[in-house]
Amino acid sequence: MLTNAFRALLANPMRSLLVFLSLTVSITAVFLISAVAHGIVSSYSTILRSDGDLIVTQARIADTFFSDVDTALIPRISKLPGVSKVTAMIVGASPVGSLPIVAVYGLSPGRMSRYKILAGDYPKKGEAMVGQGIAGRFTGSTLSIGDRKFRISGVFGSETGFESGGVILSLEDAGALFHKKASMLFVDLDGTQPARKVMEAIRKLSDRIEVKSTDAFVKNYHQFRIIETSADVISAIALLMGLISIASIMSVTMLERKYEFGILRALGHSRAAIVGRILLETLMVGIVAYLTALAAALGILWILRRLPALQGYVDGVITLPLALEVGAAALTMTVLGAIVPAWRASGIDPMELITRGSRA
Amino acid sequence: MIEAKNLIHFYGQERAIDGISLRVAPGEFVALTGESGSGKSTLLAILSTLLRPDSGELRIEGKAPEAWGDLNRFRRRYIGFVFQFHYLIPYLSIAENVALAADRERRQEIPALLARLGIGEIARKKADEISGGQRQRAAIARAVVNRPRILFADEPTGNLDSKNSEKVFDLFRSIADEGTTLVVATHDRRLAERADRIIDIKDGRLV
Ligand SMILES: Nc1ncnc2c1ncn2[C@@H]1O[C@H](COP(=O)(O)OP(=O)(O)O)[C@@H](O)[C@H]1O
Ligand SMILES: [Mg+2]
Repeated sequence: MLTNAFRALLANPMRSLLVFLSLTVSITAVFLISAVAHGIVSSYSTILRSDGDLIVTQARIADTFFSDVDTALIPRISKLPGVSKVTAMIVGASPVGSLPIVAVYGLSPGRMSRYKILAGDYPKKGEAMVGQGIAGRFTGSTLSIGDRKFRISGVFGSETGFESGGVILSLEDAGALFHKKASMLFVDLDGTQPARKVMEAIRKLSDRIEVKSTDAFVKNYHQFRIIETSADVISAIALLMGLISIASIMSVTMLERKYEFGILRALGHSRAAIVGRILLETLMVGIVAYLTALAAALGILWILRRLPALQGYVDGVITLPLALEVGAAALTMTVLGAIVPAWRASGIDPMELITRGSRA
Repeated sequence: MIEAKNLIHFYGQERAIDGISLRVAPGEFVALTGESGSGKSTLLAILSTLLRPDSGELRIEGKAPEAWGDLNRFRRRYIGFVFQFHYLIPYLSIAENVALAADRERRQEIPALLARLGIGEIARKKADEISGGQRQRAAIARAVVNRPRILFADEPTGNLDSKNSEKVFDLFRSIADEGTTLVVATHDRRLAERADRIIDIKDGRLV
C-alpha cells in the first residue's frame, strides 16, 4: 500500500515536488505568522501577568500605551482591606541611542525586583538599565532616550523578547519622558477579601480608572484580538493558496493517470478505493511537507530572534497546540485539494479504455 | 455463462448494435470477428457490463445486471479484462501491477501465475522495460489473477506481431481449457480459428 503510494509519487518527481513545495511554503507561512502573533501576544501578556492580581488602567482608552493613571492612588489603594502590595509601571517606546524604537519601562521600586540583574544595579533617578538583548549596543557609560541622557546602571535579563530588548527607568524618569504618572497599577491581594470586593472598593476611589483581574484584562485586551484575528486571516489566505495550488497540480496529474484508474474500475475497484489511494499519496506528501515546514519555521524564528535589527522583539513561539492546530489545518487543506480532482479522475468510464485501444 | 437477447445500442442516431442475441456456454472460447466498425467492441462492452445497452436482455451467470447490485463487486468476482492497449502502470513492476488488481488472498499466487504465462523472469521489471508481447501477457495475468469466470478481450493482439499474437491466443486456449469462459473480439480471422466458435458481426448484426 504505502510502497505503491511512494512509487506513484516517485513516478512523477517533478509533480510531487511541486505539490510538496506549495504545501511547505503555505504551511511555513501559517506557522510564521501564527507564531509571531502568538509571540507578541504571549510576550506582552507575560509582562502583564507577571505579578499583580488586578490591573488598574485609565478608563476608556484605546490601548495601554495611552493610559495615564494617577500615582496618588497608590497609597490609597494600598490601604484598602485585602490589598498586600501596589506597584506601578509605565510602558512606552522611544528612540534609544542609535536604535530607532525601543520599549521603555518605568517601574516603581517595588516592581524592579522581578527583573534579574546580570550586571550593575537597578536604576535610580537619572539612570537606565538595559536589557541583555540590546546591551551590546551600548558600550559607553551613558545612553540617550529621546532627548534626555541617562547613566547606565546595569544590565538585566528576561525570557521575554519585549523586555530583554528594552530599557528600564525609574517611574519618575519615565513619567517625565512620556508625560504621565503611570500606565497601569498592579495590585496584589492578600487573600483576605474576595477579588470582586477589592475591585469594587478601588473603583469607588476614582471614576477615571478601570479595574480588571489580570486574567480578564489579558483575555479581553483588544490589541491581542486584533493581532490574533489578523494572523488567522492571513493564515487562512495562505492555506487557501496552498489548497488552490494542490488542486490545480492534482487536476493535471489525475488527467495523466486516468487510464490507470480506468483499468482498476474495469476490474471492479470502487471509486472510493481509488480516491483512497490518491488521498494516501497526497497525505504522504502532506505529512512530509508539514514536518519540513515545522523545521523551516523553527529555523526562521530562531534567526529572527537573533537578528540584531529586530532587537529580539520578533519572538515567535510554536507551542504544541499551535503545531497540532496547523497540522490539522494542513492535512485538511491537503485532503480538500486532492479530493475533488481524485473523485473526478476516479469517475472515468472504463469504456474509454476500449476507445483508446481502437484509436491506437 | 452469458445469455443476451435482442441487444440494441445506439450512438446518437447510429445503430451500433442492432438486435443481437447470443449464448456463450461456461468454459467456451468465443471469438467475435468482423470488419472494423462492425460493432465488436460495443458488443463486448455490453456483454462485460461496461456499457448499458439501450434495450435488450443480458444475463451473466444467470443474473441480470439490475440484480447484480454493486457492479464493482460483480466485476471483481466474475470478470477479467484485456484491452488492445496494456494499461500497465509504468512506475510499478509487472508483479506489482498484477498485485494491484489482485484480491488479498490471491497475491501469493502471482509468482506461479506469471511463471505459467511465461513472464516469471520479468516479474520485477517495469512495463517500459519489456516487449509488447510480454506486456500483453502481463495484462492477461492481471486480468485473470482473481480467477474470473469470464475473460473479455478487445483486440488483444492489435499491437502485436504475428508470433506474439499466436502466443497470446495459445494462452487464451489454455485459460479456456481450465474452464474460464472467454470472449475475444478480433478482426484477425486466422487467429479467431483458435476459438471454439466464431461469432461474425456485420453492421451490428450477427452474420
Ligand atoms: N463512442 C462512440 N460514439 C459514437 N460512435 C461510436 C462510438 N464507438 C463506436 N462508435 C461507432 O459504432 C460502430 C461500431 O463501433 P465499434 O463497436 O468500435 O466496432 P469495432 O470494434 O468492430 O471496430 C462504428 O460505426 C463506430 O464508428
Ligand atoms: Mg473495436
